[in-house]
Amino acid sequence: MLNGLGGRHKARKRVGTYALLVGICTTLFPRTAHAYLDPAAGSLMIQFVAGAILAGALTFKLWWHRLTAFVSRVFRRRESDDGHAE
Amino acid sequence: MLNNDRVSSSFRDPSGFLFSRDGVLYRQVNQSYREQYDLLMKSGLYSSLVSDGQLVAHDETDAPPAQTDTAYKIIRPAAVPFISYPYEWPFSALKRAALATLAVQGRALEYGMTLKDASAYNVQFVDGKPLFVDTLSFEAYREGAPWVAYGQFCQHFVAPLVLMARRDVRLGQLSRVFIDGVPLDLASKMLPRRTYLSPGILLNIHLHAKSQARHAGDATAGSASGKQRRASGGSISRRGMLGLLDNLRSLITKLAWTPSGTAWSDYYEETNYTQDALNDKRRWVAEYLERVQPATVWDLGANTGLFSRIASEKGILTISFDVDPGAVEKNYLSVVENKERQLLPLLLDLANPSPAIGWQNRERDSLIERGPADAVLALALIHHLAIANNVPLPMLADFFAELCRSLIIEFVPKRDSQVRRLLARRQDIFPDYTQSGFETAFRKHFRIEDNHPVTDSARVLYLMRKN
Repeated sequence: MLNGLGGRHKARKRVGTYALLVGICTTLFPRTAHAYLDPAAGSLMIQFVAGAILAGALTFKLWWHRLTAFVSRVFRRRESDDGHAE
Repeated sequence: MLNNDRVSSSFRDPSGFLFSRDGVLYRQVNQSYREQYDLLMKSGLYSSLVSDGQLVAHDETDAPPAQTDTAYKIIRPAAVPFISYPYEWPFSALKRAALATLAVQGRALEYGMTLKDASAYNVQFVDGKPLFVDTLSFEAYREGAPWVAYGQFCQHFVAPLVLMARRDVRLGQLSRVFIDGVPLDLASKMLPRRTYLSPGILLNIHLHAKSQARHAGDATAGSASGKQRRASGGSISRRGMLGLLDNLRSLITKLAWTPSGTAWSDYYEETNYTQDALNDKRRWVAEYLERVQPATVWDLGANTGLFSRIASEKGILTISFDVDPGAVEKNYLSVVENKERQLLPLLLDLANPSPAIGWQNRERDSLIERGPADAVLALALIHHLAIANNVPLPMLADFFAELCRSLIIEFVPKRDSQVRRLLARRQDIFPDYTQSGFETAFRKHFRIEDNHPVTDSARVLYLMRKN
């Protein structure tokens, strides 16, 4: 049950992250390629652009872990109470 | 007069450099790095990393500096017994090295520092585990600043790992051509289209490559980033930085490659050795190792390391080389699973061994420059080199003489079924490939101390000592 919920959520989260990244791609990066590469500038820029999304994704992930841990604790407690009742 | 020998790979970073004196390796910390070094030591980061086995330990010494006018301190790092390179590591070793680097960066952030350098060459395998060996790679972290080593990390680790997992494991060899890491635009072009559907690969390879191309015309990284930072809001929060590390960790953790169908990884399962022959060979290899008492063994053509473990289980540092990525991967996974400390499986094509590469051909040593080993094991190997690769026996003897002081080698005659298989579809142009021809060729460099015909087989095991 929890696994099923986790799986659906994971898929939704993945689609959401992907949509945001595609958005960044289409709005900020032109399709023309340059012959000379300067890795430093481009590698720094992508962090500025993606930083907010990555921060949001991490926050969401941490809260999600807390939530699933809480739900699983509640279920475990309930199952153990049921076990005692029998 | 002090005899300082500056390590030829140690020249890029002005923070300091490595040098050896009387066989001892030192690192000079320059005045320009003083504040950062003191922060590393006083913040608790150094102790934290060293106590967890993530960073090489060092002692501060009173040894005279190699370059007095720039010196702040001279430190002596703990010795790394064998230097290996990313293009020699199996898939899972490169993956563990990548995760180890991310762990170091994560810990550094906790202590207010960050890695300014995330080169794969800063990781070495010691006691079976990846160890970050560049003490001078840390600098103070400023809130809002990007990770300056992010591009390097992606080129040195993410690109080869993703190419190996999602395209072909042999693409790990690109690291040997591109010493500064696999260019991201190249990785992006080579990866299958479906990798655009992986958010981690999309961000760290495909979009990253586009960003590099987009900003390639910027005058310098510093000025461009300043200008662009202002244009884009110009910073990445600490949470964003942690998110980036989490994204990289998650991507790398999920990357997998399962060895199957490569030439040698099922060798022991398929071979026609009888159990008696295997047992006899093992017994005599152990006996010869006892006689030699080597401190280091290189097992060439080691496959999954069956015979390497005879040496490593005696506490001998054993480097287990093989050409097949599947066999080396299996060998490495056993090392991890069994927490073996004395065995290091590496990928190596003996017909084209790791060359010296980099600036002046001196940044990364060739295989031969990293020797000689006290002893080499060359078991069930010589027929592959002499017959499959057409290397004449005298040239094989020359090669082994450069690699080792003692040699435990198996001669596999033409009547052996494995040699018959090699000769089945080609002309036999090897009239000198005989036991006496073999002995004559090797006597040029070695004294034959003993030999033993392997039970239930046509093969003969030799113990030779270099003249």
